[in-house]
Amino acid sequence: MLQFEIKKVFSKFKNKMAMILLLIILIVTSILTMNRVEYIDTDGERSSGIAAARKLRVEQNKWAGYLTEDVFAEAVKENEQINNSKEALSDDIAAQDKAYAKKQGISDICNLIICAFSEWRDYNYYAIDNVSLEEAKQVYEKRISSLKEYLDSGEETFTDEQKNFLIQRYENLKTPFYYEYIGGWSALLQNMSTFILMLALVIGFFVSGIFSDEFQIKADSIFFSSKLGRNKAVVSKVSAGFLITTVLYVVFVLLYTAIVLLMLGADGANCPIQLDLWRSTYNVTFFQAYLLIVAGGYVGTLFAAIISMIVSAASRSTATAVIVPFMILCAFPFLSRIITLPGICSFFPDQLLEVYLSVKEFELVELGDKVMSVATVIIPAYMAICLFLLPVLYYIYKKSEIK
Amino acid sequence: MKLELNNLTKKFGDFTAVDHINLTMNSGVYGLLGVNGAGKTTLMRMLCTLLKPTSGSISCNGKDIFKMDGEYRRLLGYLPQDFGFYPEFTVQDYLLYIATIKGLRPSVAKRKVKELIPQVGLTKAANKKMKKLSGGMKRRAGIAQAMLNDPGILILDEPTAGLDPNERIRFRNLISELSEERLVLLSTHIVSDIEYIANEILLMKDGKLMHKGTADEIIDSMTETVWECLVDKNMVSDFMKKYKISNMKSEPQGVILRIISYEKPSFDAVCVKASLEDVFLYYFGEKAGDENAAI
Repeated sequence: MLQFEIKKVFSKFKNKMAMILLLIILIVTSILTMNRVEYIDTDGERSSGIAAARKLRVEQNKWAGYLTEDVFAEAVKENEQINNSKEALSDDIAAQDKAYAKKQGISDICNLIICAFSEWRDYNYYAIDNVSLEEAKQVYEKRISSLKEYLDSGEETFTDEQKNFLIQRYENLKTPFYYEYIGGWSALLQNMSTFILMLALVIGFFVSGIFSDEFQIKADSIFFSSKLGRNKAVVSKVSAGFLITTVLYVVFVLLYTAIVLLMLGADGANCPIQLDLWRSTYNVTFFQAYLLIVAGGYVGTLFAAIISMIVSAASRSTATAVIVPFMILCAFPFLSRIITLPGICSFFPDQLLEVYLSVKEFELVELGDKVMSVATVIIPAYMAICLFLLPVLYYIYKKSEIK
Repeated sequence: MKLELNNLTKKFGDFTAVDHINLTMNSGVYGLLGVNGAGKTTLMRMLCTLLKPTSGSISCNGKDIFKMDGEYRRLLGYLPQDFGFYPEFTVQDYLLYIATIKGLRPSVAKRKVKELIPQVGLTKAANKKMKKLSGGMKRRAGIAQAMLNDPGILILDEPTAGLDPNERIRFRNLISELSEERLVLLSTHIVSDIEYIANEILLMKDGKLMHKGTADEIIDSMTETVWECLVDKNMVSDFMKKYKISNMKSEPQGVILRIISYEKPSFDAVCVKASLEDVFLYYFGEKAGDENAAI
């Protein structure tokens, strides 16, 4: 029965077109993601994509290992040497590019030093130029002390519990960081949310007709008058919607991940996310952050798909149901811009697709006296809502009358 | 198999589509005759558990069909008036899918589909997509799906509507063939279909059951007489204003009118045996004239 329900969905012309669209989205997003990695060769020539990633990987992996105090000091020294080179001091941009090319191996490490020694809400590219070798050894301490200064400054209003939570998270971060080339993961995570959003919208399109099509093609009378039409056949429809959402999501996310990491390199999976997102409160590796983003995306996609199916079953209109994922995933971000209720906006379902931002920024939720990061609350909360909505969907469709 | 309808009523807001119907049906072919909007489809939808009655009940062998749920629908075969299908499915896939939702085991489903496809004359079209079938072929696929579970109760809503005369005769014969030892309820406004295959006729008007009986009993229930007379072409409109005309036939010497009337409409009018079409006009009046266009 389930097999026929799935066949119904994939035999529709518009869904075949949607599948082609999904493949196009996959290819285009993969190309855009790959082009995020750039490399400047010794002649100052700029390149991007797969070849650039390979060269950058070789350069950066020369610095692979634990980022101890000595490594930071060495990076500062290297940076200073390059800055004082003939190319760097030249007024010729091509020559400056050649100087920059030499910095690419240490660029991620320099980036950490820059973040540590910049003002809290600022990124001062030249901050490293004023860091002494002794100061460079204080990078990890500086991360914590900057946070404390920021929290005490009163620029943002945090409760004492939230302040303690943030400080504790910072202090609990394991140091020294293990470092290796992270270009592939970094590019992947940055583009993941956009890819998941498009995937969720297309999946919503696929499942929007599962229930309403029976009414629209007038196959409803035979369906509901058959022996299993008000029980197992409805279950098979719900299962088909769940399965299509899950399989399409998993397959396309894995394809996207595989393409990007195979092309850009999968090194750095076990490096801390702070190598890329210095101020993150999530003490996780790139791979764990990836899992969190994928999990959030899945729950968001599933939630939008289930609401779309509920509207499909209740309104009997595929056209209405197909709008639902757009409303949930595209209208809510718009709403959160015009409504100044940050506490509530953090719970909007579109946030499930924005877990990357949640990992990057300080997005906290306070429930009672317990402070938590937004993603760790909304993912299980929406999963529970989805599990509650599945029987609701079943019940709405089961009770349909043919007037 | 026994279906009992007790005070069955269905209202949509202020409109009463089915009005306190009491009826008992056993095995045999029942023809439900009435004009469009008489409540035939609503009645059939309630019999198929697609609609819940506003009041009253339907029982099958003494049990409420809505409480029986799947157990009742297991006995049911239904061909709706607007027969929808999955356009991209082949005939075979379509029937296999319906067999599945009817709860047939895969091996049984395959065997039944294999049996029914030639029986309804769709052997050559078995692997054709449903959307490529002609109107008649779609109807045959429709009757095949209704028969998949070998139903004890077969409900056919306007099964011959839209078919050409040849297809209609073939379809009528097919229904007769399939009706043995079942309760078949057939709704139509095409009188000749009922006349040929129904053992018992149910006349429905404005949601109410007006008459029930065999064709002869229904004809006998008519209190007026049927007359035939030849009139001048110029006089036809006068006759139409005064009498119910069940048929007109142009001849070189004038028009032969078939008139339903208590009184003899003209001095040369001849009393003739009433047909079911005459009864239809007699009971359903003006509206029936429109429907007879389809006969």
